[in-house]
Amino acid sequence: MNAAADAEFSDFMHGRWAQLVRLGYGLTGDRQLAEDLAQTAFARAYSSWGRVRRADNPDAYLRRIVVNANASRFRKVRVGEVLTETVPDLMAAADGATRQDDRDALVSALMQLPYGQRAAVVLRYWLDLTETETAAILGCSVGNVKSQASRALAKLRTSAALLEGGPA
Amino acid sequence: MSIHDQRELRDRLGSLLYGIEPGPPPVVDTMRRGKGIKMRRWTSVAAGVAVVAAGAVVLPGVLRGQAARPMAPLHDKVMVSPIGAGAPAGLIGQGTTDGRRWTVVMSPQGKGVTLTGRGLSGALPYYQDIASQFTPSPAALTTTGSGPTVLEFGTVRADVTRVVISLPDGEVVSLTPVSWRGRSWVAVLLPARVPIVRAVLYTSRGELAYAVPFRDTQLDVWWQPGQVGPARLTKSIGSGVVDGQPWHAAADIGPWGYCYTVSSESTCIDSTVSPLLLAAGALASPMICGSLDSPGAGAARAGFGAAAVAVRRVVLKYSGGRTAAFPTVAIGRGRMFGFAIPGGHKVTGSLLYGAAGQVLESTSGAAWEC
Repeated sequence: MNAAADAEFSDFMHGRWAQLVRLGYGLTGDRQLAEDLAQTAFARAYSSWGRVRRADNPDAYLRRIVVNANASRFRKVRVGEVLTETVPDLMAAADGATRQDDRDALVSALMQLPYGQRAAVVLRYWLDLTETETAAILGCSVGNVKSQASRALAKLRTSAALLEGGPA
Repeated sequence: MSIHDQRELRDRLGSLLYGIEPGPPPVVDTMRRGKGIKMRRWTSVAAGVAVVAAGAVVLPGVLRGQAARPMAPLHDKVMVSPIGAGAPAGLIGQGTTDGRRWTVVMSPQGKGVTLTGRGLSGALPYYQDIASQFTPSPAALTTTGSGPTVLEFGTVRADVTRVVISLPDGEVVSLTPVSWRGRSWVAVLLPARVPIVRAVLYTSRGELAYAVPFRDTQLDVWWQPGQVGPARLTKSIGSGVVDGQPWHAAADIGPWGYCYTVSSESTCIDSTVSPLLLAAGALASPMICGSLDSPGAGAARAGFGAAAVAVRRVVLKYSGGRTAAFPTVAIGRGRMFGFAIPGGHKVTGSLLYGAAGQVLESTSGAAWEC
């Protein structure tokens, strides 16, 4: 690419880096991993920059890469992960539980959700994407997004992590 | 607690995720990874082509005579015609670019000057105060216009006899300054997609200065012959969201100088120490500030400023009582910071903090009007 395209890409990346890392964090609960996923998405965007910059919605392209890259990471490490019905023991919140405790509880609750439900929650309720936009990123039907988000909400309502970790 | 409705979930997700403050984006490393991906893609394609070619080899003559096609040139040709003694007043440039004839004429209009001409594309500027717009040191060039061509023009120091612009395909365009209203002017119409590689100013005694463009055509910093610009570095100096709109300020350092960009507005200087800061004798001062949306009194604004080395945090106080803190970032021998001002608000004052959290200076809002 020439210097102009590189500069354009640099601007593009600067403007979206924080949001994409946050999306990655919402999906993984791990900041380092979130930055890796975001960088992977930007590297792929750079490799096809001519096409990406002309796309109607380059943000959707980046988000799709982050969601899919994390899904494939799940497939690769599935053997090493143990999914449990209940969350690990959490320290009981003391009086005046800190904001950090609240955040930890939410991360813990999110990580207990199956990946599709978690992605639907983050895309729908944090990025405020429509069901159609979410479906396009997840590569599924709008009906599937509705059911994933609905199930996720139901689980979060009764989440032990949120019940125990948040303020009373 | 439990999450009972979507609004609460939205709030809590916002609180969680906006609490994550990532470091600056690893742009250079990402580009390297991207190039690797592209290379692997090409390798795969090449391997496929090799298989096809190997098959073709067994059919004698199939590939014979298939000479490699030369790469298409970036553009046709830029030619500048000399301006004779009898030329109309204000004519500062004429020539042909990619077969398109053009002329550039400076005309007085009211208290300012305007640009007219033939073959130019895009909106052309009107300058109210030409004296401050073009104070050459030793040249003040700017790019204007849009479409297939852009106009590079401006003033040069009186002793400059020639401006030589090199283009990527080895083409060299030589401009002879033209005198108009006591200043020496140059102008050339360039293909929009062709970046300038380097521009050199000559006097009768030889090379005076050279510049490497920032983002293709922005020639802001002129170095003396033999002087080398700083090593390349890209650094974020601030980012955030104001009135729901993301903003970002970045420093791009390289042979083009120390360039700072916020909301697509860039400015480059030849030193990390802001001349504005030194002149004001202040510990911190804004350098550029612009609207994030369509310009107007009610629009949110973002900008960047320079700070003394001792300043680690700039806290702005807005009308209405809100405050926001902006960390400063070390750039060479100075520190820079990005900042934002919510729409409909003014900065009523600022507090500058040192490394130990002590207040170094408290200023009024007047310095932050932008």
